[in-house]
Amino acid sequence: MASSRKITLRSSDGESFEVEEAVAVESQTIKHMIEDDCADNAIPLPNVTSKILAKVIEYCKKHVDASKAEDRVNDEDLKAWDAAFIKVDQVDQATLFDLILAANYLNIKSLLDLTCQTVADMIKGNLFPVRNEWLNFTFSIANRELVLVCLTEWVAHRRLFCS
Amino acid sequence: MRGHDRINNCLPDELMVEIFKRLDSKSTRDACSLVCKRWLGLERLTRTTLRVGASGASELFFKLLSRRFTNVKNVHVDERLSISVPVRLGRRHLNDQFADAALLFLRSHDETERSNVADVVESYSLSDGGLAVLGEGFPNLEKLSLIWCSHISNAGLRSLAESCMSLKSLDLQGCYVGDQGLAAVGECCKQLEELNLRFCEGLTDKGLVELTARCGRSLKSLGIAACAKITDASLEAVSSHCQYLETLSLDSEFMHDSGLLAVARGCHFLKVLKLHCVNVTDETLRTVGRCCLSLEELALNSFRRFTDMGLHSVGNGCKSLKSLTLTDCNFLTDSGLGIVATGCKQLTHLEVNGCHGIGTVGLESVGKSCSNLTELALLYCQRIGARALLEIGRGCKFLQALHLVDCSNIGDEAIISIAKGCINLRRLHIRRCYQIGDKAIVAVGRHCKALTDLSLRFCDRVGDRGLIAIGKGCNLTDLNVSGCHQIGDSGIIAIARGCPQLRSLDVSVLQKLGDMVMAKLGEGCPLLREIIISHCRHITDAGLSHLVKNCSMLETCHMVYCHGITSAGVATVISSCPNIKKVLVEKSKVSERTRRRAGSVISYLCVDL
Repeated sequence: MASSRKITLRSSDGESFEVEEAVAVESQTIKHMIEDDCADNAIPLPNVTSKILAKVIEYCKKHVDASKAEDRVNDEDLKAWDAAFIKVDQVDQATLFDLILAANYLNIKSLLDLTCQTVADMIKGNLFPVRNEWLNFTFSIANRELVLVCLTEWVAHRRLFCS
Repeated sequence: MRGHDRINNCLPDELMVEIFKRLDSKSTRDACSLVCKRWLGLERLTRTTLRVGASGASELFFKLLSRRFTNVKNVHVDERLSISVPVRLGRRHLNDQFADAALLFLRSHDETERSNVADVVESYSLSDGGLAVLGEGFPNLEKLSLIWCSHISNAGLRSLAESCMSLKSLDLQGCYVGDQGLAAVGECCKQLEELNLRFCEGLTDKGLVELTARCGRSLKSLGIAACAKITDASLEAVSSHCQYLETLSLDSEFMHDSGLLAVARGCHFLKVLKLHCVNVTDETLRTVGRCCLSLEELALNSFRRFTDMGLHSVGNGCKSLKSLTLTDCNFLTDSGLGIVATGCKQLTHLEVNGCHGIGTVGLESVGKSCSNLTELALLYCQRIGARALLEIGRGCKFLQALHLVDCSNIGDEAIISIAKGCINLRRLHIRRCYQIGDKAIVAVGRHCKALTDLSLRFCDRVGDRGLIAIGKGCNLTDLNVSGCHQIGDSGIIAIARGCPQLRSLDVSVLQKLGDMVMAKLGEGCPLLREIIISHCRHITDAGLSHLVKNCSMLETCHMVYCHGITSAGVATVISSCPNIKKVLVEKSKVSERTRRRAGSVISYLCVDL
């Protein structure tokens, strides 16, 4: 029988969030803290801002509800919810990366899978600018052919590229 | 693209590696490794497999590879594949140069390294020294394949075994190693689960007996072929030391019953048994039927001395049998197959190849009893008639794949009953069944909505009407109508319109096809990867250019004996398709410029006309 105990989580900017224990223990990190009896007062999460913590809690709540539901939530429906959840952040890359860092720190495997897969798909879709230090130029993997030509020329004729 | 490089500033190394692990295709990973130095270093950590051809693998080569790819667990060296080592960097087709991780190091930006390697590349074969370095460089290696590496010997194998004690799988196909090498593997690799000794002609009983004595407990899979000096004595050792053996694949005329009898009695967990042994008799099969009760897969090839009695025993005893393959077993008849069918209700795969004693009655029993059948292959079975497939159609609702080759007694009625009954059919391959015509194919198009792979090679009564029905009813990914010379433009255009997911198309030898077909294919099938239009006389450069305008994912194109295609057409294919991997064409049609752009991709027709 799952206890309906409430756990308080405190974000890095001082905001407190009250959640059910079942939701909080989606995070292995928090789960271990509770087991080690460090959870009497609020659990401080110095690496997670309130904005991100709110989103993480929203994710965990949905997944806990999905597994508890009387008529089990369809796998497809949950996947669709996940897609919508993450799509918002594909526009705002900073939030996406913060979510990855939070999922890693809080050790929430499913959220880490979701966010990393999203970024992997975005890399494939050339949505990230990355700076190449040799060429002193920011580009994406769409410019692979350009890179190959430049690198080949650079190796063959180093002098032309000295900066 | 402008923009702030946020991804490198926000994410630490281990999370970048997590992301790279989720990149699904090799070309994307290769592309990522070229983006910046950090990604190059991190992406390398996600590589777990290396494939090396006969490219002059020297000691330095493997030292470099082990330094760069530190997480590799699986190395595959296949010296049947020769990779041209480009020593001079030039403007070649850039996609290919990075296609193989083994060549990646040649692009290193350290010029001294590069020039050293360029000098050392003389011998094109892995040596003992190279093998020793490989072992030292990858001490956590789990899986190693050395395919036809003719220059390695006992010494190399010993040094490898001593370095790679966690080895789980070893494939020495075609390597002339000796007993001492094998004994060394047995001494050091106590976790060895899989061992393949096909064509290792230097081995005798001594080596295998010693190996099984030392690491037999972990061994789960063993393969032996064409090793003249390995006899029943080795199998007897296997039976006493390899209690947990699950898979045995044996191809030998030097084995008789005694060895296999011992294995059948001693290896209680045997699941897969593949035998190609002309001197083994019914007695072995009878014992298999009595003792190998967990057997799931049985393949019997070219047995001169098996009769139905052996199969009776299998049918009565091996109740978990899922897959049965009978090749060239001429003394088996319907009775034997019937007993297997009624006894082994779990049967999902059945292949009968050239067994002239098996006819309609045997297959009828299969149709009546094996309701779980998912794959059926009847190759060169002249005696099997329409009634057999009628029963299959009635009884095997879950059939997903049907292969028929040279079954001259099978006609429209049989295929129609399959189409109506096996609604889950995904793959239908029919070759040289001359009685099958449009009526059958129309039925397939109407009933088999799950069909994705259709092949009707040289079924020359099939024409446009059949293909139009397929285009309407089935979402094909693969179509082969080579040799069905009644098919013309309208049939293929119907496919182009109805199958937008088409990836592979073979219309060779079809004399009626023209450029309109190519244009429609270009419009309708943008995912096309492979096209074979050899011997299509009326297709010209214009048709080709319409095709490649839209089919940018094309990887393979065969176009020999196409009188309408010139070097301009060939050049168009090369320049329009960035993913092109193989072009088969006459040498005279490849201009100098095209050869320079894409030399490694083009294969030439061998006959000079």
